[in-house]
This record gives sequence, C-alpha cells and structure tokens, in this order.
Amino acid sequence: MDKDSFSDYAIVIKNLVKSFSGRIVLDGLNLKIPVGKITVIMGGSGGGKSVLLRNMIGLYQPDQGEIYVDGENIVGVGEKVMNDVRRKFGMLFQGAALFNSLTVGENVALPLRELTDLSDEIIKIIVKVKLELVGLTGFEHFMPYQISGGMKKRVALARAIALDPKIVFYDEPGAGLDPITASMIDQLILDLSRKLRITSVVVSHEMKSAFRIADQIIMLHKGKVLEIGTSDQIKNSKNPYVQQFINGEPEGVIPLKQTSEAYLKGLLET
Amino acid sequence: MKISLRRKNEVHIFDLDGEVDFHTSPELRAQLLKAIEQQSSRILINLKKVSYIDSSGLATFVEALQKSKRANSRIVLAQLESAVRSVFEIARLDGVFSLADSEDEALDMLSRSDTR
Repeated sequence: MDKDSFSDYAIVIKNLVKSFSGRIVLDGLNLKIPVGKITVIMGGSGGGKSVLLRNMIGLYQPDQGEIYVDGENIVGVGEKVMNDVRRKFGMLFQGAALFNSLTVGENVALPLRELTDLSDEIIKIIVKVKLELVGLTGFEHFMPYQISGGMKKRVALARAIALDPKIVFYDEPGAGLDPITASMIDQLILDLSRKLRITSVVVSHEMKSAFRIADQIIMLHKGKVLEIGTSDQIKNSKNPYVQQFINGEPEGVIPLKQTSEAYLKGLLET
Repeated sequence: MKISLRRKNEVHIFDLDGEVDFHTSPELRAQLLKAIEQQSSRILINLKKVSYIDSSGLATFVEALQKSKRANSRIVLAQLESAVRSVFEIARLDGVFSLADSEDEALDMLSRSDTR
C-alpha cells in the first residue's frame, strides 16, 4: 500500500479473519476508515461488529489479515507496541465504566495522571476544559451515583478524549439511553469530529443515529462487508438485506428462523 | 519544541517553534511561570511557528494567564495558525486571551496595558 493511502485513512483492514472454536465470525473483511470522519459500523447482533471493534483496538488477535492503525500493522505486535498504539485511541464503552469511588473530575483526570507527567494544576485545567466540551462544567465534584445515565456517558466521553486521541471508538453509544439523551450523545460525537477532527468509529445497530452522524456507513453481515456508503447511499441501497435491516422487518432475505435444519438434526440425533 | 527568549523594551518575547504537547508543555510551563514570578509585567508569546497545540498546551497558557492576572502582568499571544486558534475556540477560550495577528499588534496591545 502506498503512503498516500495511509495519510487519508486512520485504519485500513485487509482480509481480516477471526473465528472462535471453528465458527467464523469475521470472514475476510476489507475496509478503510477515513481520517477525521465518522464511520458507523452496522449490522445485526452476531454480525461481527463487536469482534471487529475488539480486533481494531488490539484486544483480539485475528487468525489472518492485517490491521493498519495510523499506517502501522498492529497484528502480532507485542504488548509494549500495542500500548503505544492504544495511546492514540479513546474508547467509549457501552456501559460508561466510570470508577464509582472517584469523583467525575477524578475519572476524567485518571488517564492524564496515569500516562503523563503533567502537574496537578495543569491536569485540573484540562479536566475543566474537557467537561466543558461535553457540557458538564461544574460537575467535577459529583460522584457517579449522583448523576444520570446520560451524564455518565458524557463523563466517560470526556475521559475518552482526555489525552487528545486521534481516533475515538464508540461501542453502542446510545444503548440504554432515552431518545433525547441518545441524540445529545450523537451531537457530541458530531461536534468532536467536526471541531477536533477526531476520527470516529461508532459501532451501532441504531439506524436513526447512524443516519444522523455517519459520513460513512459500513454494513456487516455474516462477517463480511455487505455494503459501504454514505447515509443516502445506504438508504437507497438496492440490497435486500440492507433494506430489511433499515426497515426492521422480521421476515425477508435474512430469515427469522435460519437454523431449523440444524435444530431438528440436533434434537433428533441426540 | 524550541523555546527562545528575547526582549523588546520591557516586553519578554517567547518564540515557540514546533508542537506544544504533553511532552513539551512542562518545559514551556516552567519558563513561563519563571517569567511571571520574576515580575515580567508584559509577556508576548509568538506562536507563528507552532503547528499544533494539545490540551496540555492550552492548559499551560490558561495557567499562565491566571497567574499573570494575579501578578498584575499581561500576556498576549501572537500569530496563531488557524489550527492552533481553533483549539482555543473549541474550548471557548479565544475570548479570554488577548490574541494578536502580528507581533506589532501584540506589542501595541501590551504598550497600552500600563494601567492593568
């Protein structure tokens, strides 16, 4: 791959294969995540979204393939190199994953204290700036149990961007939130991407949210990329799987009951 | 990042060259705080050759601004690249700092600040 391509793409994945106990979850996946844009990875449950995410952040090692982050292939690198690569990432987990014994401010400060030699005074200022970015000025001294679920997500986001990452991964950012709070989180993702030119990778199965924020949508199905396009391209896709997914219909080309043969075989042969 | 210091009349001028980030901002902080402690009443920070500042760089300028106000001195930042200026704008701090487009403008702002 030539150098130009790497400067345009934060992440490039080539022929990624991952299986668990012989069951193939990612089946020769190829995709590119453009720098400074929002890419939403969509697909049904079990379609490989989470496994893909975990491969991208180095939590899983693929069976085959290459994953270039910022031009560097992270497959097979040691823990030390991976830790350096991870410093370029921010990660917003599905549950906010705040430390309940620490204040909001201490939670945001944590990566700065752990990974930099910055003084307390400077860290305190950074925490204030990050909390302002997520609309939580004045909440430093609150404990996680004193704030709402949506606020916790925003604190987690402030923490995810504490170290000024180039790439932020969001795992189902709207999960468990009411529609208004979820759209607020979407707006934050948009703001951070547009204003700070952060590359955003969002794993989601919520179509509304994806259409609202995505520069690029990647639809996964059975461990392969089914379709890549802008929101409009995906909306107007002729692919019956994509249409079934968008419209949330139980029956279509993706059968609701797809294991009947295996089920019967399993039942009758035991 | 390279930090060079020069003086023009009563003004301490910091010329920064490179990136102000987690690695380089502590050294900048030490030098700025030293200048403020030594009661330099007018400080000009020229950012013409700075292509990038991160949150720690921004925080370093915020702290210097806080301390300079307490010490009755004045800080002006000059010649910010648009990428650097946007870091101040995103944090809504562009209105808090005195930002000048040229060094002359910055010197002019500082010369009119005797009363501060």
